[in-house]
Formats: sequence, structure tokens, C-alpha cells
Amino acid sequence: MSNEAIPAPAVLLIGGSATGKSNFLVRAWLGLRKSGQVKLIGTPEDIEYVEQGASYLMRGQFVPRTSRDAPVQNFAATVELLEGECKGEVRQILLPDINGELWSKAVHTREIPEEWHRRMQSAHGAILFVRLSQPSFVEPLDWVTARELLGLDSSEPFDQYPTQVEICELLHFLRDTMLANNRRRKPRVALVITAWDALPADHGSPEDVVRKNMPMVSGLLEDLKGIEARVFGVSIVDGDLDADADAQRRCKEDLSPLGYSVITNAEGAAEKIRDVTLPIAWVLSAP
Amino acid sequence: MNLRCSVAECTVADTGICVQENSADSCPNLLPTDGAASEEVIKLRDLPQRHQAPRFAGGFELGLDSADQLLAERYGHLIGILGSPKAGKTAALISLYLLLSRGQLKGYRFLDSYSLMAFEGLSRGARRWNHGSLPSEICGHTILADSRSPGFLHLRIKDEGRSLSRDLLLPDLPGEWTDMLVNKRQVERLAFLKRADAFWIVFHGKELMENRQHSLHRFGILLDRLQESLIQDDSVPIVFVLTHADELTEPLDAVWIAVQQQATERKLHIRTVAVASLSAAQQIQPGHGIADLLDAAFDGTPNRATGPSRILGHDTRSVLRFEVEHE
Repeated sequence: MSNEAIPAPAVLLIGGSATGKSNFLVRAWLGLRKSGQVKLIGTPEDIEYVEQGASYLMRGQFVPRTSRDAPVQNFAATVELLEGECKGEVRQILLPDINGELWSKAVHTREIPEEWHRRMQSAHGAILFVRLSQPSFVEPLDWVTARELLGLDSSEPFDQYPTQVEICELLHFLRDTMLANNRRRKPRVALVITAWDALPADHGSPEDVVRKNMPMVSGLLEDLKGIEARVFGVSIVDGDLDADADAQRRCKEDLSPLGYSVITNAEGAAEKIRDVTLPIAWVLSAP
Repeated sequence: MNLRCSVAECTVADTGICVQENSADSCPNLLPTDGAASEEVIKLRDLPQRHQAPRFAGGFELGLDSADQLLAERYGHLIGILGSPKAGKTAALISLYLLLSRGQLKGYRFLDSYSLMAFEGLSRGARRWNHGSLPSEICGHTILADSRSPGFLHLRIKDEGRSLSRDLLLPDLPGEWTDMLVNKRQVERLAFLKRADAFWIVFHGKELMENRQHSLHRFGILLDRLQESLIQDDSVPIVFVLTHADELTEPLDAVWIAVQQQATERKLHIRTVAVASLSAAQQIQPGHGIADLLDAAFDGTPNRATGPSRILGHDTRSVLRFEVEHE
């Protein structure tokens, strides 16, 4: 009989490169130590990776981008849900962090390594990350480009789909894979718009932002059957540590009051909640 | 390693992928190559089957079976898109996709598509992507598939005016199929159009205006062919589509009148729409007329199905299947 431990179901962190997955994971680690809608039970065994990241944030710097060759970093923890229908329930979770290229490649090749396929099948759910700024955000094709490409009868390869197309395909993959695995709970997928603080003024609610910037994703979220999906905005430290000296200073002093999640409330408006772990709590709270 | 295959269409030598999805250790079509290479083949056959990474389904054009499966699950609008080569059929489909992707199609919104990769590829005028190699589904369709078998682009849209979610099946057919239907009554490969909910018959605007009499004459023959072989109900919406509207300077009234005469003579319902799929003209927005194409396609008579899947009875599907099996 094998003594190999069965890995805990994952909350998959999915998104292209530079969408903020690692920064979210590190900030969530710090957030999970405080009481929000979900909290840690005990201190996880291996915290080296998230602690490395924490050292950056606490110095007022973003966690550097995960290199293409970096191995997958698994942050495993035991958490308790403090709110909602699943209040009091305890979950073993795994938050695996890997360079976003894996996911873009999956869209292009329609293939995924066996290991990740298994993780998708057994996952609690997933958090899909989108950052609505360059270089990670790719706009839909415009008319001028389409005309030029068609006029040239182009056979040039292209390696970037519009972000909304990638997100739609990843949602399809998640639905098909997670639903193939008979499960008690309807799997949940949180779509997280990172760097929420950097959005232009009067952007509206998270759902408004998706509708305006990614109309195809907005439609698919409305139509998707079998999985439950919800849009969140997240700002991990209230500002841009690469460009804003004030944000750096605040973060260096004490980052614990910084960072928030944004949801679309019942009135359709944006509602800010000082808890960056909210998307994780929501994914884990599938009734 | 040099693999060779006796099946002419097989790309295993170039891509390492067998078009019949056989594994290299059991494929009966693999040919021995000379010298060391043939030893390699033998060795390969002794090896365990190559492990394949899990694959995700969908993304490309639907084959006839998949389209039929979708129709069995829920009602879908199949639109027969006919027109000579370079009439502008594909550009109209691209324009429809671009409008939806930007949330700019008046009266309609994107909900889903099983063909996103196909639409993206078409929109870039590229049939080759992934750095020059085709995903196997595309190989399967463009290389392997019976040249008589259509591929369908799928879109699921919200019809906001009628508060309905609609599945569209849009066959991107070679223009030659229309020419051969007109010239030689080659109807077999188009038999699936008996199930069509509407037809878009597409003409290149400039070419039509230059050759108006002959183009409209051929339009009449095409209508005859449709009535003789493919249209089972004369109330099916037919849309006469004039493309490149941004390049037209002459009034179109005479064309519209001639089209309506043809419709009246045959007791058909024909609407006329001018589109500017990818307009570069300042006074006409790209995508002009595309929403009208959908409006016209959905503008069915009351007995035409617009609701849930059960309206599409087994009889209709079995007709479709029969046609496919007996082509």
C-alpha cells in the first residue's frame, strides 16, 4: 500500500503572464492569517515561497514575475470558513502557482500536462486572473488589423489570442473538466480583475468592467451552465508599487490594512470589502 | 525519426501525428523506411504507446455529426450561406464575429461559441497558426475530411429584441459549391441545407453592379435550384446580400426591384440587405448591415421554429441523417 499522501484539492490560480497571480497568492497568505471570511487553522508546513514573496511586499515592492522555467510552487494550508452556508467547515487547500504560459499554451495547443489535468478534475474550483492593462491584456482584433490581415491573405502565425478569447476557452476547459468528475458541489470559478485601483474613474462594478472590456466573457458568464462563476475586483495593496511612492511608503509601514476585494452588490453597484481573500472564500464556499 | 505512411493525406512524416489517430506501434499503414529508419519504426512498435497529453475538445468548426448533435439537444438556426468565390461570405462571418466580440452588434450579444479558434483564425486570414503547425482538429477537418462534408461555425447569441438565446450554425462553404450547384446541379453535398432556417445568398456588390443582368440571371437560376432540391418550405427566409456596400456609388433601387420580381415569380420571401463587412470608408461603419442579416434570418413566418429544441422533430433530423448517410 502506498504511503503517498493524497494531495488536497486545489483552488487553481489561472491566468496569463503578468496578471498578478503570485502577488495575489502572497497577499492572500498574509490575509488568511487575519480573520476575514476564511482563516488559517495552524501554520502551514511549507511557507518558504510565500514568505519570500512577503518580504518583497513588506519592503514596498511587488513580487517579481514568476519565470517561465520556475517549478510549480504549491502553497498548502488548512482553512476554516467563517461565513455563509458552509460556515464552520474546514477545507484542505492547495494553491499552486506557476507561470501563466501554461494556460496560454493550453488554449493554443488544446493540450495540458496530465498532472494539471488531474488537478483541474479534482479542484475545489478556480480563480481566473485578468489584468486590464498592457502587456498582459490583449484587445480584440480591430477592423483595421482584420482588413490588413485579410487583404494580405496572411499566413503569418500568431501567438496571442485576445484576452477575452483565452478567458472564454479557459472557462470552457474548466467546465468540461470539473464537470466530468462527478462531484457533490457545483464547482465555482472566480474571475478576478487585478490592479483594481489602477482602473480609470467611474468604471462601475466588476460586472460592468467585464461587460465593457470583455463583452464575450460577460456573455459567457451569463450563459455558462454547470459551474458557478462570479466576478471580483482585487487590489492587493491599494496602489501601484512600481510607480507610486506613497503606495510604497504605506506598504512598507504596515500593509495589513491595505488591499481589498470588490464585488457587485444586489443593487448592481461596486462594493469594496477590506478582505483580499474573499475570492478564495467564495470558491471554497460552494454549497 | 522518419515515419512514412501509406495514406496519402497522413501528415505523420511532418507532424508526428497520425491523421487516423492510430498509435505508431499499431498503425497498419506505417511504411518501413530504408536502413536505420526502418529499424527505428520496428523499435518504435516495440515501445509502449506514446503518452498523449489530455486534450480539450472544441474550439474549431463543427463537423456535420457535431452540428446534428447540437440540434438534437436544442434548437439551432442553421443558415445556408451561398455565393460564388470571393463574394464576401467569409468577410461577413468575420464581421459578425468582430461586432459581437466588441459588443457592437445592434440588438444582439455574444453568449458562447464552440468555434472561437476557428473565428480567430478566419479573422486573421490565417489557416495556419501555432507557429506554422495546425492543431490536429484542423488537420482532421481540412486535410482528412471528405471534401463533401461541410464545417459549421457556431455562435450562441442573445437576441435582445425577442429576449431569446439562439444557437447559430453557420457553414463556411467554398464558393465553388454554389457555382457547381448553379452550373451542374451538384446538390448532394448541400443536402444538409434542407434543414436550413434561412438562406443568405451573397453577391459581391461591385461585381454585381458591373454585370447586373448576368448576376441577377444567375441568382434566378440559383433560386430555381434551391426550390427544386433544397427548399422544402417556400416561406423560408431568403436574404439577398450585397457586399462591399461601402464601395458602391450607384443607387441600388433597380437591383432591389429585380430581386423582388424574382421572389414574386417564385412565391418566395426574399429580403435584401447591403452590407459593408470590413468597410474602410468613413461614411459607412464596418459591419454595416450585419445586424440586418440576422434580423432577416430570424424574421420567420409563425410556423417557423424559433423556440426550444423540441420544435425540431425527429423527422427533420432523420431527414438530415438520411441525406448524410446516402450522399
